[in-house]
Amino acid sequence: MAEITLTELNVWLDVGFTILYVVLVVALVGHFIGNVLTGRIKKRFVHKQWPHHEGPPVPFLPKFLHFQHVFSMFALAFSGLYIRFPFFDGGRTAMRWVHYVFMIIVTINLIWRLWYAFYAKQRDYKEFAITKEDIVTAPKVILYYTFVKNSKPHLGKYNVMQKGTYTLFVPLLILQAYTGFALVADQFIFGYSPRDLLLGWWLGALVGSTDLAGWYARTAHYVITWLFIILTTIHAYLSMTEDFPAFQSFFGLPSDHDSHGAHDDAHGHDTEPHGAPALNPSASKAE
Amino acid sequence: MSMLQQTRLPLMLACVIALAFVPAAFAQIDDPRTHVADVNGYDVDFTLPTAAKAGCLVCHGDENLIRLREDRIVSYYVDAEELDAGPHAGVQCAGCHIDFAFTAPHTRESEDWENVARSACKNCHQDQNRAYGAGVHRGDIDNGDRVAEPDAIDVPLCGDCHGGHDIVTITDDPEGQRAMHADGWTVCGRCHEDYWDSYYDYYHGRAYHRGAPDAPACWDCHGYHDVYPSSDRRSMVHPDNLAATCGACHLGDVNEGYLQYAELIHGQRDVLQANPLYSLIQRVSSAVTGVFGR
Repeated sequence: MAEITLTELNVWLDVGFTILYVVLVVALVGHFIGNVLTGRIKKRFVHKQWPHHEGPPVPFLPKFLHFQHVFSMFALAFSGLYIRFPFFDGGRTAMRWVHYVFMIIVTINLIWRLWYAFYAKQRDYKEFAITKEDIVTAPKVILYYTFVKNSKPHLGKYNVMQKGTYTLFVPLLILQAYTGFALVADQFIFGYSPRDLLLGWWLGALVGSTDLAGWYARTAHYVITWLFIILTTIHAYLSMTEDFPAFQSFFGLPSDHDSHGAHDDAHGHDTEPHGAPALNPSASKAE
Repeated sequence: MSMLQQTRLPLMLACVIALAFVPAAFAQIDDPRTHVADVNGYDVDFTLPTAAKAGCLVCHGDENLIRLREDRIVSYYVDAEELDAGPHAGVQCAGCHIDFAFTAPHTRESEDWENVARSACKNCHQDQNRAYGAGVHRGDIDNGDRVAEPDAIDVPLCGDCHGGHDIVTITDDPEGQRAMHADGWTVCGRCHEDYWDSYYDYYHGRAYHRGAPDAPACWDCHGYHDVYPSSDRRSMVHPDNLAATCGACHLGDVNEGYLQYAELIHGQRDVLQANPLYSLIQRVSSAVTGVFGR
């Protein structure tokens, strides 16, 4: 197999991810048309049959962190892509500063959210845990999103695909922060740069050069950026089309639909799991 | 018929004819080209006070001082403020226009005043001139150790890159350095258009084209006065010297693997064109365009 150079790899990534994103957007448009044709859009937006959420509404702090995270990630993606592909004049210095400021905000945000998930009074890490039942019911969730089934299993606040995606965000964010800080080559820490300290001693030693290690880190950083863009696009689309009241609630927008509290089963969820406590953690807890 | 009546008619006719010619006369005055002396030279019947710039600027300080040259209007205006703001504010006009003559055009017939002026810098900037004379841009200059090339006039002279009356101070002047840094198109690009266009990689070329102050200008990698072809071992971009050249900015330990990136600096578009997926998309796009029309 012919060796692919880093230069070629970078061009492959540009071309590959751009095409993938175009395909994704086309697929989402197709999915939306599917939603219209199957009557799901009418059911939700006209008849207001939105998913039901057990338990109390989501507290303010996670919503605030989510909002801050969305804004910061947008700023980071915009400024990061500008640094790689400058598309207007004279913005490099400003975009670098934007990137520096928001990378710190996102890093603080990540630490804060992890603390909230595991140590706060209202810690919610269990809501993201993928259980055996999630795995068993995963095919049904996929069948629902591909319009084969009309409803999806209801196991808790999030379905298996949401849990998987949100959980994946954590290692991706950690890796993104690590590779991002490793791109800083200014030697301001006792004569060393963040790149020297994060990469030089191990990856630099492996590939023979700290700068080359930085290039690997930059490539990884770029790949993760695209993963975020892709996952966030899907997340935004599904949150708006599948659960618009929750979307409004997360951004502090008024909604005429209260999806919390008393159970109203006029949504697209299977009723079966509610009769099966083993598949419903909140029901299990109540027991 | 009285005497007055006898003269009135011819007088009126004279006035009408005169009025008919007035617009044409004004039109001629308004046309700047009427100021142009369409001659190869003319004598100045007074002595110009050349010991001070004010003497030359009596005429050259006038924005309307133009001539027709090969059907082109050429301005001979010199902006005194611009000149005084530059590093050569204390240099008299004849310090650079050393072939100045008391005739107009102010040059001896055998000399090309433009090129004389553009290479007059050597009289003061001898080190730079010597370095320039060693590089690929060497021209018709007297550097003491070589014979001028026959096509020397096609190579850039000092003024082509640095400008003339609008030259900026570079030494110890951040503003001048910024202005010079941003001037890659004028200095190199307009002659080396293919290299200017191909300088379009991620972090150097694209950023430089977009005015990034920290993206390298052409001469940051290629050198300036003594520029050599990349095949010459003295060139900053010869493979033997790339590590040192890149290492000037990339303070880590640049090695062979890292230097792979150098191929992208002027070659990213080639790498992109060679990408099979990109080629496929382009072929599909051409086919679609062909079917549905533009």
